[in-house]
Amino acid sequence: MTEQFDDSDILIRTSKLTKLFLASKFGILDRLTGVKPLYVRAVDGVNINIKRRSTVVLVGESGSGKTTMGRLLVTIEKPTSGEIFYGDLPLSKNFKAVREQVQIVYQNPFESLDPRMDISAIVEEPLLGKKISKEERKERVKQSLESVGLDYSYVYFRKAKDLSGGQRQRVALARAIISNPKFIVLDEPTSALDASIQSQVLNLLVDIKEKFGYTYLVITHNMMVTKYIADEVYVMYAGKIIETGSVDIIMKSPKHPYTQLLLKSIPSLENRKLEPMVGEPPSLINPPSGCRFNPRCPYAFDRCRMEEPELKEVESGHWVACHLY
Amino acid sequence: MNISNIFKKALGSRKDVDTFSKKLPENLSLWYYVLHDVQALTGLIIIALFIIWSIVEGSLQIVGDYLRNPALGWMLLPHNPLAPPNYALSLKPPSMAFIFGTNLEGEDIFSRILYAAPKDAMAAFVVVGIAILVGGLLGTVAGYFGGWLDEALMRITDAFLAIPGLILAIALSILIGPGFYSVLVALTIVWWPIYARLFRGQTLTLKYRGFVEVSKLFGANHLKIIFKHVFPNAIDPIVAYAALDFGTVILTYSTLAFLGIGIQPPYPEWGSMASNGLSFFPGVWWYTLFPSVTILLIVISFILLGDKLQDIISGRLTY
Amino acid sequence: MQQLEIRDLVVHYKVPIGTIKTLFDLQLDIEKGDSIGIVGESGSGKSTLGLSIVGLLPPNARVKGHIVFEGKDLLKMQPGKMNGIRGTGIFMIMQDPFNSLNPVKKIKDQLIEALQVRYSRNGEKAQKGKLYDEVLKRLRDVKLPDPEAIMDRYPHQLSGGQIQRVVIAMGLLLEPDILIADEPTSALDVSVQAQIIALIKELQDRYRMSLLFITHDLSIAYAVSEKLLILYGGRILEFGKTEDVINNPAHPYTEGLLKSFPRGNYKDGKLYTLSGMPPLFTSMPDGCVFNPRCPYAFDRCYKEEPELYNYMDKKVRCFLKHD
Ligand SMILES: Nc1ncnc2c1ncn2[C@@H]1O[C@H](COP(=O)(O)OP(=O)(O)O)[C@@H](O)[C@H]1O
Ligand SMILES: Nc1ncnc2c1ncn2[C@@H]1O[C@H](COP(=O)(O)OP(=O)(O)O)[C@@H](O)[C@H]1O
Ligand SMILES: [Mg+2]
Ligand SMILES: [Mg+2]
Repeated sequence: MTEQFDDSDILIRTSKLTKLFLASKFGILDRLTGVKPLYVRAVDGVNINIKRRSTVVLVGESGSGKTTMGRLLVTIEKPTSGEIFYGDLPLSKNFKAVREQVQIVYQNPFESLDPRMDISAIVEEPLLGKKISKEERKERVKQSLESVGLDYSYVYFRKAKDLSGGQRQRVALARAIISNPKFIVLDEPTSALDASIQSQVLNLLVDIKEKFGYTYLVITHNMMVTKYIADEVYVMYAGKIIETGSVDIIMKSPKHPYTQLLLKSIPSLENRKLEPMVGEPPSLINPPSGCRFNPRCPYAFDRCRMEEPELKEVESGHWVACHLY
Repeated sequence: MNISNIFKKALGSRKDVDTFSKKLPENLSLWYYVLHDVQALTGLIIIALFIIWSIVEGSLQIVGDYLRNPALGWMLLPHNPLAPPNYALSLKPPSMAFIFGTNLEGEDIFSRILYAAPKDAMAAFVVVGIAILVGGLLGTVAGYFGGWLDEALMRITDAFLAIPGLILAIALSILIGPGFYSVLVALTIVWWPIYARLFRGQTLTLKYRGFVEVSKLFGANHLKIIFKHVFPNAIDPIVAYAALDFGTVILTYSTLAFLGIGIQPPYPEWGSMASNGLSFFPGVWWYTLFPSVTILLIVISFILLGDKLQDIISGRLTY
Repeated sequence: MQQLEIRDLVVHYKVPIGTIKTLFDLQLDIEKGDSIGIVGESGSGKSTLGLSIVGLLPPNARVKGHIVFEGKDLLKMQPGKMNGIRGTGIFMIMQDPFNSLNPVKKIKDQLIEALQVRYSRNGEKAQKGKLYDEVLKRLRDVKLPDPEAIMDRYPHQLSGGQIQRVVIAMGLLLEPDILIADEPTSALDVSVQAQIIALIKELQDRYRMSLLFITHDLSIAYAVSEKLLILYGGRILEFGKTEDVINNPAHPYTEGLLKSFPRGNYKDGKLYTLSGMPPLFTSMPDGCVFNPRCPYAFDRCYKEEPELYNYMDKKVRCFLKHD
């Protein structure tokens, strides 16, 4: 385990993190004939800071690059350019150590649990490559399942399909925490769950975080969940971060026109009058010039069409990428 | 609240809805559904009988060959299926002594059908088995790694897919000489590409499933992921397909025999028996009918079982 | 005016090992122009309710009771007659929208056909060109990018979200008397969701269409509907004006559910939770279906199942809440 991973106040920092995907298959023939490949700019020059033991929430429309961002941070996806720093060390310098410290929990717990395996085998999987005795593994599986509120003797021999949605999500969580990670990405952790189960899982997430000192990146489009679980919020639009600040600031006084519209267009029990957003999300292959939001923005003026706004600190701890400020 | 209610509450009192004759088992397996479905069960029973018989009879034939005592091969049969022609018994209708009647050479059709069974079973299992192994390996590797490896493997598969099976079988029987094994080789060569495609398709969806991706985070290597997560999950729908496919192999094998390719006289084969009998139809109806019905019965049994398995696996029956 | 009356509806599904009693004692009146949100957790019987109204239950379903539409009991009707009602009388946007489209016909032809059904019902005639334009306009309304191209495609060439929008467009083109929408926005993005909801509401207002909006998400139902029906374990537990149900929930389930929604930050304290899990149809509790999770349950709740009582302008299935 690296010292650096433990020391500083910022656990994870990215610098101009960028991930491009090929927009279509690019075969040998294309290469030979000199066709230029087209890229989807899924994550485009993103800088974020994640404080140790904090929860950062990433919000935005689908296709804005949130999942890709999460997958980059847990090293499943390789950056096209830019760097991720864990502690002070760049990822390229301590890839192996980082991999052991990060975990991801997907939206759909059925997708992420192998349907053919017993729950105990699923939860045990992260320990298999390590030199840990069978007894200890069993003990840790038991502890881990119990930490997420599952009865070991009830679940250990079952298969994922025999459990309810909430229980499956707990199993995914038990597997994520068994190897004592520092950082966990939760990609829409409650959106597949029934309403009466959602609060159980949210409580659990907060509980284990406080108990074990995890740092979370939560991806969600549910504003009530964001408000509940977040310390910091990052708003993502078309591969870019367009606004960030503490949860209070973003929920109560959002400044970016997109954030304002997004909050009004998402149903919640505190928002009966929905105001739908106009227009479509932009193409990520050929994003609009200037500010990426300008074609949909009610306040757009000439400068917005020409010059791309940078993230600026408009008040203490509140950063906005918009020419209005 | 009284004690019993507290107790009930804690347990979440269970009242089985009255029409439930029995409680749902906790874990409904594939076999549960098969065993509770008349058609699938019928198919399964016939297939089981066919396989058990094939193993017993097949072993006797092999041991008989080994000990140079072919009579062992018809030890359990009512008559010698390979007896020299005895035209006195030629074309006898079904009777107590010959329940399926006799053929032109005066041999017992029932004994000949039973004697031929192991070869059909072997053809089905060898062809489908090798197809699953070869196709499974190539398809999974192609789908999992993608890129140029995928391109190359799939082009090879396509090339094999383009070979017409019948013509290959004829060519091989000219080349290696007609016989059981040339048919087996021909069928195997044309059979595996379908499985390569099936496995590749399965792998392509599986490799993006969360549990495969997450496994990489745990430091599992590709080989481990393929054998632990991809292959076992790909196999289910393919087993269902294979169950149907056993029938198809037997049908193809019999068709080839019907056309005179494959096992040669005096050894019996269902397809060639049906074919020989056809010229006597309908006057000597039993000659072609019983071998044909046998083929049909086995093929239909595989279809019944395979169809049910597919229903279950595609989730249509899993509430 | 009473447009649809559901009385004593019971739906069972026959499965190899027995019978799953999905809906029980379901009573519902729909007035013209109503918009009713039907909310329940997965497996509570929402889709089953929608499918029984349009008469499209799967073959293993058994139905009892009455569903009266314009004076006719749909459950007693010949299967052929029901086709005349489906579409222009009652239309359902299915949860799995792929099944609502014909796989071998272009989107264009299917939507124009739907539009012709509406014109012929109203005794009007229209040229092909006009029909085409109207269809195109609706496809734009549901925010399908590049609608001209989509018109020429076949269903399998579209993504799930696109299909869902095509079927929503079809429902809107038909302008049925009653539109049943089963989770119509669950495959769509949050921002598109608000657009679709706005569109459905606008059309509902304009044509005085009645709307049954099925969703598992209480906040969407809150945004869409004037009345709210809470379904749990195949029973209606509460039914009333949406504002009223959300602000003054009467049934302990509704109350607990609303209390468990997060409103503040985790630093302000833990969320209230409903213990336990929704019931399984294979092992329903005796008495009230909610009793294993109910904080107020008493003796009677374990012995007897409460009826749907009238309680302060609402209907509530709870012994503690009746006038
Ligand atoms: N493996 C991939 N190959 C090609 N494009 C991808 C891949 N993963 C994501 N994308 C594209 O990147 C963009 C961002 O996707 P994603 O990160 O999933 O967004 P979100 O999670 O915000 O919905 C989308 O346009 C998506 O189509
Ligand atoms: N065709 C069917 N056969 C047997 N059971 C079914 C069938 N369709 C639905 N069910 C069962 O009926 C119950 C209610 O299903 P459904 O109406 O689809 O619920 P919802 O739409 O609220 O999720 C579930 O338990 C489901 O498993
Ligand atoms: Mg995502
Ligand atoms: Mg449903």
